[in-house]
Amino acid sequence: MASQAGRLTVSILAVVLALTLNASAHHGTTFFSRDQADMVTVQGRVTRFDFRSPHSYLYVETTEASGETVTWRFESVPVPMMKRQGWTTDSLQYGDEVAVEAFPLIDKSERFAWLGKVIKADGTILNPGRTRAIPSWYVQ
Amino acid sequence: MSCTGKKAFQRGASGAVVGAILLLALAAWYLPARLDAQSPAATAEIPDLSEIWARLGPLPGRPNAPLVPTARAIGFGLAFDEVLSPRYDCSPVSAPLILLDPFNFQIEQQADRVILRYEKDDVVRTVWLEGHGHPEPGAYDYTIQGHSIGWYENNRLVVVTSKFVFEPTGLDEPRHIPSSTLKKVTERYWREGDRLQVEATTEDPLVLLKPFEFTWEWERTELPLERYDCDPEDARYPAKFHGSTYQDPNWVRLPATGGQEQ
Repeated sequence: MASQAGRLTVSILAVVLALTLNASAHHGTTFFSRDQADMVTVQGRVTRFDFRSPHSYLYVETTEASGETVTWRFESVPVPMMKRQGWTTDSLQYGDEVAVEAFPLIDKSERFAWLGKVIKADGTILNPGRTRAIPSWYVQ
Repeated sequence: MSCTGKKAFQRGASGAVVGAILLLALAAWYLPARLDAQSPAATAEIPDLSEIWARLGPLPGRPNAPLVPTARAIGFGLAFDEVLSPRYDCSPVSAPLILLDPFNFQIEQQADRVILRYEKDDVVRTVWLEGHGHPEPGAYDYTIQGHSIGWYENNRLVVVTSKFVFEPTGLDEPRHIPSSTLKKVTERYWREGDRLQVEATTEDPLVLLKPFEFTWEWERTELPLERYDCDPEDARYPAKFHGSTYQDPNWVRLPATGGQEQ
């Protein structure tokens, strides 16, 4: 009986997968929230920018409402994709004042988020381009 | 020059003449075969695909059919733990998924081979063109990118790749659909102006109920290929946020073998 139920479950899943399966290769990013209410805007100072693959990382130090100084880590796309959006290894320098829009972890276990865009003090917008981690409602 | 020296010189000269004749005969036999792919008649059927190509998507009006996995492949996917994915250790992606990744790639056509260079994972695939005497893969020659042979047919480049290693997420990464050592990928590339198009068919009887077929299109770009340079430490960092398929990933009882150990 249990094995029949198991077979049925697998059969249903097979149908579901057959209907929806879309082959594409990437790291999963399902742990980032796509909820508009969760989006964060972090204003602070760049302390590190790793222009790397498979993901570039930006670190921004900010002071929270409580007065505590914290560092956010933002993840984004690999170097070839960043370059096609106009980014270079010098796009962000240590100490740059920035505002970062991003999509944080659903479980909020760390100050870690997927990068939406960076707005520099002079108004320049650095946009890493659209990926599946960017919610459809978000305007870059 | 002494008589003995003269004879030795004559013998040496005769040897050189014979050697030269043999060399010419060898060249006469070898060169036409090497140049065959570049001869005017053959060139007419060889499409010029040697460009850098940027991803577009499925061919217009040709929506791609879904992947239809076997129950065992779905079962494997359900049991698989994301943190075990080799992608978090910079293990490169293979065909057919590498065709669908949003990165540029380059085709370089040579007389006896075609080189496919991808930005993604800095993958380089060598397609050995038939009729040029390259060695066949041995029984043990399984690799991530497999072994590719190719030929030109009706103004298309046909590439057939087999001898892949097992990949736990080889046919669908988010849903952990694997690919087995029976995977065989056939790609047919042709050019329409500044566009490159492909029809790809993947067979894997252990994983697929029917062949997985899709079309894809790229456009010519002047942008250079960028290095990927995957950083393993960087790659692994996000894996920890996925959690585990298992309530306690450190303790699952191994089933008894029923005395079947060898």
